[in-house]
Amino acid sequence: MNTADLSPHLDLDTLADLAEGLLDEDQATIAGEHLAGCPQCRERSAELADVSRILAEAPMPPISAEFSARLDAAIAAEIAANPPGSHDHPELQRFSRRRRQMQLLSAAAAAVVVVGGAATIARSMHSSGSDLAKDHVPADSPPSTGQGKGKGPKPMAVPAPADPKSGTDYRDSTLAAQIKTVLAAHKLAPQDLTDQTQACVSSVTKGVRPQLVDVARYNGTPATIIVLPGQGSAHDVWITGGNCSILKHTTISG
Amino acid sequence: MAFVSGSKTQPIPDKELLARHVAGDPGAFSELVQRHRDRMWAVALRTLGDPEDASDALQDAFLSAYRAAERFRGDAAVTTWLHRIVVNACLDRLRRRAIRPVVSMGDDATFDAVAPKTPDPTVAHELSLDVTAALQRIPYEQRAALILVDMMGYAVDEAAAVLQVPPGTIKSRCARGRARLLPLLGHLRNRPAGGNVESTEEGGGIPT
Repeated sequence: MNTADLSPHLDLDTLADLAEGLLDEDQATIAGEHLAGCPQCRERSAELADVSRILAEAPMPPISAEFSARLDAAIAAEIAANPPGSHDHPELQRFSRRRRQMQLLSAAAAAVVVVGGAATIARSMHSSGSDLAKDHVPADSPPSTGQGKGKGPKPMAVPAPADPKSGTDYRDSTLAAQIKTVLAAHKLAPQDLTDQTQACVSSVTKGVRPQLVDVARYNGTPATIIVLPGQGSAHDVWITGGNCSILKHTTISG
Repeated sequence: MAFVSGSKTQPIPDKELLARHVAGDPGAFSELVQRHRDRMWAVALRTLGDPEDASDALQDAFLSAYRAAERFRGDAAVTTWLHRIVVNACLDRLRRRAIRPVVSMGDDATFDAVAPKTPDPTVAHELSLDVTAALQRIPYEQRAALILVDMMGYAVDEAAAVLQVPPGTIKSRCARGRARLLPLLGHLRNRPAGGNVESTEEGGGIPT
């Protein structure tokens, strides 16, 4: 076949369109005839097919641990600032409320370990101070229940350090007064926390030094109360439950 | 037909997770994020070519999805919807980048920016870098179509649903994108370099 010598070579766009079936009948016929007689264009057509192969074989770029943690924190903060479920679907809401209760139960189980193992979990927010947020503990880090296993003294044998927990059971109706009382009485340095709780606190504080972190109770269930400086003398209050779920976010005046 | 084949092994379907999120389940949305972020990250990084921008875009996208969840109608797959949000967030970044002049980066700097922080880049990783860098030199529309169809393996119809253009447009963008990429990926091809390949097709597709 000599047609190849007579007609101009097919450009890449035409070859790519041909492969994708985008040429109309006449164009496709002409291009096909040219290809049949032109090894060079056939070679380029094969190279075009290779482009798809190269793209398909490119490995998935890994997501960095740093960004992963940042994303978790951003979403936790969004959940806190704008809790889901302020809308319809009563059926689902009932379901999720039940689920939340179960999460709280599991948090209660973890809290027992926290108290007993307080001495073995040496990392305190107090000592890490304002560097807290830079710790980048992923929010999904495993719970601390197995942490003391085989290491350090047996939890129950060691008296807990001066326990800064207020023991308060915060209630909605008296929340502001309770927080002010605790703030005034304890001047609480953030206490020893499990990694899990600390990650949760970090996702809320986002680098702001908390005025109070109280692992206590809220409406009768285990909860962590986090107080950040608010506008003026106000306080920005976050209450988290199990799985770092945000139970409440509110502002109280100073 | 399913957008993500892995969803079969997941106990809770995406749509139900999203419904639970809308209904107030505080853990449902995070589960969706865990499930899809690797693929969404791949789309964002390949679209933008810069890890910093891709991080910002992906974070924006997930937060948008969080807030827009109630408006999800359920007639598309959740992944289609998520991809659309990610793609839009990337487009947003590109536009912003076009507005604020960036300190111009030479090719080496571009490669450094996309380079992994780990000290031991494998050959496979270098391949990925070259592909990502080459993608940045073709028009955005073609890049987005190729990422979904050729790289992520979605059907033309699915990519059309994500990008909200007709399937024929996706095909056309893919074809033209491949034609533009060919000279840029020349060094990656296994076949012996064709001596007669003209480089008239010199990219020209810096995103606008």
